[in-house]
Amino acid sequence: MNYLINCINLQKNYLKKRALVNINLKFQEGKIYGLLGPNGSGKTTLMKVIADLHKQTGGEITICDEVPSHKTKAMVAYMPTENYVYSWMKVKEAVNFYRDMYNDFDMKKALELLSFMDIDLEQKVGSLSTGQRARLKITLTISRKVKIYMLDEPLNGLDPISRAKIKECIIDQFDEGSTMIISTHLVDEIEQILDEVIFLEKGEVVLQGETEEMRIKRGQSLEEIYREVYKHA
Amino acid sequence: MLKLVKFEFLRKRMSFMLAAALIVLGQIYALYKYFSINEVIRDNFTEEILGIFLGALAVGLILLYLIDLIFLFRNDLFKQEGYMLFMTPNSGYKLLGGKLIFALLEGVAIAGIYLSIAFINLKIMGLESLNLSLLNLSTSEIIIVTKLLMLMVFMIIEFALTIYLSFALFKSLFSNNRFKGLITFGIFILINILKGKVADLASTVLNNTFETIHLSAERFTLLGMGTTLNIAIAATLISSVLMYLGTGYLLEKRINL
Repeated sequence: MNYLINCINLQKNYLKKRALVNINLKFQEGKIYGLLGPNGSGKTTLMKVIADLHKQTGGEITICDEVPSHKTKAMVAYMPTENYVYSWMKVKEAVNFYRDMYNDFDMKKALELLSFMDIDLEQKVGSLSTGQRARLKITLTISRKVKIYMLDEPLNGLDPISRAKIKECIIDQFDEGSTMIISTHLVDEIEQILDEVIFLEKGEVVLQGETEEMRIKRGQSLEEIYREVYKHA
Repeated sequence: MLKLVKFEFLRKRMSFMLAAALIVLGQIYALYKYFSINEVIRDNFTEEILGIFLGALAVGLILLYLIDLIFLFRNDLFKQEGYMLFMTPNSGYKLLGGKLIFALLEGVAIAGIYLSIAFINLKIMGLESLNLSLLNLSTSEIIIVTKLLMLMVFMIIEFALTIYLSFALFKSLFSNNRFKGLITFGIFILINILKGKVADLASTVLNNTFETIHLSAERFTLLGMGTTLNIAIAATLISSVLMYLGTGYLLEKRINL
């Protein structure tokens, strides 16, 4: 089995708060994973540790058999939930920044996706709407050719048109040779595209498995399972 | 590294344009005020007026430059948009190096602008005779001037690195400490006190050395100054290298953005 990410007893603390508690997870090539859980469950923290923006407090993590560093950043395309694209840039400057900084950036694909997403290259990032910013973020992330894609809350707070475009983009652009991790609490929007799901609560994995198998076994939709798992949250 | 420097220039282009516009407007205003002064006073105090103007301009530019040095790093470490830079597959050392090179180039550009303004005003005010030329300096004087310039450059780098190291500590070793701000500020002060102590020690050693040597007044001054500058340059350089390595390590291995 080819695992791209391997977490062993991974821990992350913020002051006294335990954001990740003994996480043991393996992410396999060719699958789309859903990282599910309410706010504060540890989804973003886990992604930031994988992206090497945060360092773990304990345990081990490897990305393609390497510990996170600037080298693994070349293997991971991460889309944070924050508006991280510099607001002073024009869209074309943001695209050029990615071209300059990432050897794996596919300019042609980025331009095609921007056209599909209805985003003008000359527009300033600061003047884009929330939906347009989200579409720009996903375009920049997906236009890289890497082994690991991570999208943190890609559909949060978006209008139906933006949500539909982003979902279409994810499905069309997913490459079997890579893995994709999508964090969300909007389960119904995305459950059709998830191969496996991981439910997090207070930094711990409370449930995980194949989406289809879980649905058949429990006789419930993913959203119903989600409601059941987090009924006390 | 060049791509990182290019990015910093792109980021600052609006600020540069704004600063350039302000400098031009300031220059026009200063000249307007100068020519509004009573002719007799103006002719008698031209040098003093120019001195005040250039002094104020130097202070203003240095202050702006120092503030800019702080924000050059702060914005990336403490704002969400910093993810864009820190997600790139560049090591902490490289990111820091890019910022330092940019800071140096910016410093050189500001110095160039300052000298140009000084030159233009000397011409306008008819004070070309004050125009200093390196050709009139002796070789040892030129060496001293070069060393002084080098020391200034290293001191700017060292100053920037002291702040960057404090920021990096804030976002790494102390990121989970409730009093991280206070601790980091304390460390910033401590680094500066340590640097001061080392400088004092070096200067005491130097003074003791020169007291035992008998030289002519002029040679003593030049030789003494040259050696003092050598030591100051070496000390600043060593301190900068140490802080560069420390900050780069924290950015690479311990950062929590």
